[in-house]
Amino acid sequence: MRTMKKLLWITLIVGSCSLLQAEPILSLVPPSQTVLVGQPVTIDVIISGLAAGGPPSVGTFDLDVSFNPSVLSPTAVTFGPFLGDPGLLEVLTAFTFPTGAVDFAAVSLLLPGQLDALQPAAFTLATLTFSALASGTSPLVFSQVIVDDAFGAKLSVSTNGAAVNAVPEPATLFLTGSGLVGVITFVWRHRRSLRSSSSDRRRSGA
Amino acid sequence: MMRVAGLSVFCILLGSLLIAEDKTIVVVEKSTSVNDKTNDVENSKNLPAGASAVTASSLDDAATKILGKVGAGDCIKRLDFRGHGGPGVQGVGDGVNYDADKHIDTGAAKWKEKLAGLKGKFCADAVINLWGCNTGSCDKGASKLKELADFFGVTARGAVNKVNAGQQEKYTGPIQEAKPNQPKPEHKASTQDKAPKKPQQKCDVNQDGDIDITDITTIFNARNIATSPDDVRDTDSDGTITVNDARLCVQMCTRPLCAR
Repeated sequence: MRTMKKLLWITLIVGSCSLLQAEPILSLVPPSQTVLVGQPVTIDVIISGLAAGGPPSVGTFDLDVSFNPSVLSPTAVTFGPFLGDPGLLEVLTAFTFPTGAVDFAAVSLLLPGQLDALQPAAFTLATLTFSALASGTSPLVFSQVIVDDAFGAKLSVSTNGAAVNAVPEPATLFLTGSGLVGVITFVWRHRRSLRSSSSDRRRSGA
Repeated sequence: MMRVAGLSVFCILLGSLLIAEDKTIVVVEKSTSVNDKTNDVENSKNLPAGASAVTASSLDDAATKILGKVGAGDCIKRLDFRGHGGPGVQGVGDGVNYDADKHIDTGAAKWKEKLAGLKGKFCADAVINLWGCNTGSCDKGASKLKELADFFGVTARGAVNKVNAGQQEKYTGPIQEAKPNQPKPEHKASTQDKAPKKPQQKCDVNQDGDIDITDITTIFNARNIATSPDDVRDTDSDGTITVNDARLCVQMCTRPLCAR
């Protein structure tokens, strides 16, 4: 299901780019999602608007994505395979988690021709994983963008951010709701009991 | 009888004058440092033809021993000093640890006082050779040789480049020369010291002659650090090390995939 959604988004983005003939776009996908507190959140960093099988290809990138640290906490970064296989020492990768941001970078050791052959018009650069800490909304925005082509020339890209809405778990809601109902019922009955005893006293002439 | 005795003395004196020699004397600096034990041994080898060597531990010692080799009627044709040196400085006794009593140098003028006894002992066309490394180099070397030439009234020469112990007769480097009562010669720079340094190649961070993954990794790990534009990691010289520099260097790797 998730893969289908990702493919749908990629198709939409690629379609938009082909219509507009714009510069490459960096997008955080999905652009909006709601998650339960305590659950993991995954965001794909997708670049689109390239040329499949030819230049420009991405040779390196260094990106920062900022978020609300009271709502989300980063836990992992997984790099896509389109700059090379790190197991074969075809790419160097690194990431850090400064406060309120995810910093992640990669530089390919492949030749420009190899990158051209490897990269489609749109692909995932990396997947960011967070944990939803507390209920609330966290925007996700690119706070640093360095993307170069296979020859080391800077690529001008536009960016699309995202947002994550974290909500409490249903069990929590149920318990909280039940507790509130219980309190309201008690108060209502108590007042009703007080009104009844007051009427009885008036009738008996006390 | 008295006439015979007088005639004999006259003959002896005449004979000594007739057999007066032009002396070639090599003063070898005595090694005193723990790290310089064999310098005097090496410097005592490969002497000029007909030379006699003395080992000196100071200027006083050198003067005494030089004069000991010069008999009545003799003159010094060539006087060599072998030992440590620097621009305008010749060691005579301990070239490793500076001591004014053991150097012909540009500082304290003790050498004039200590070697004054050699004045008048040189042949008309004598030469003094200072074989300390770079002794004749730079303006200091030219000035010191000029001083020596004027003081003793003879030609003074000094090696401009490094001289290996015991290899003075095979030295082929430039020589500085000063003549008495002549203008100070133009200074000569050591051709060894002035050899142009090979510029550091961009991307070759460890300067091992290869651009490989070691260099790329170093640049990559230093990303977003501000630096000077001549930093070998800053390939595009924009004052910041970035992934752009790393990718530019990837294309300059010595081997595919920047292999070591």
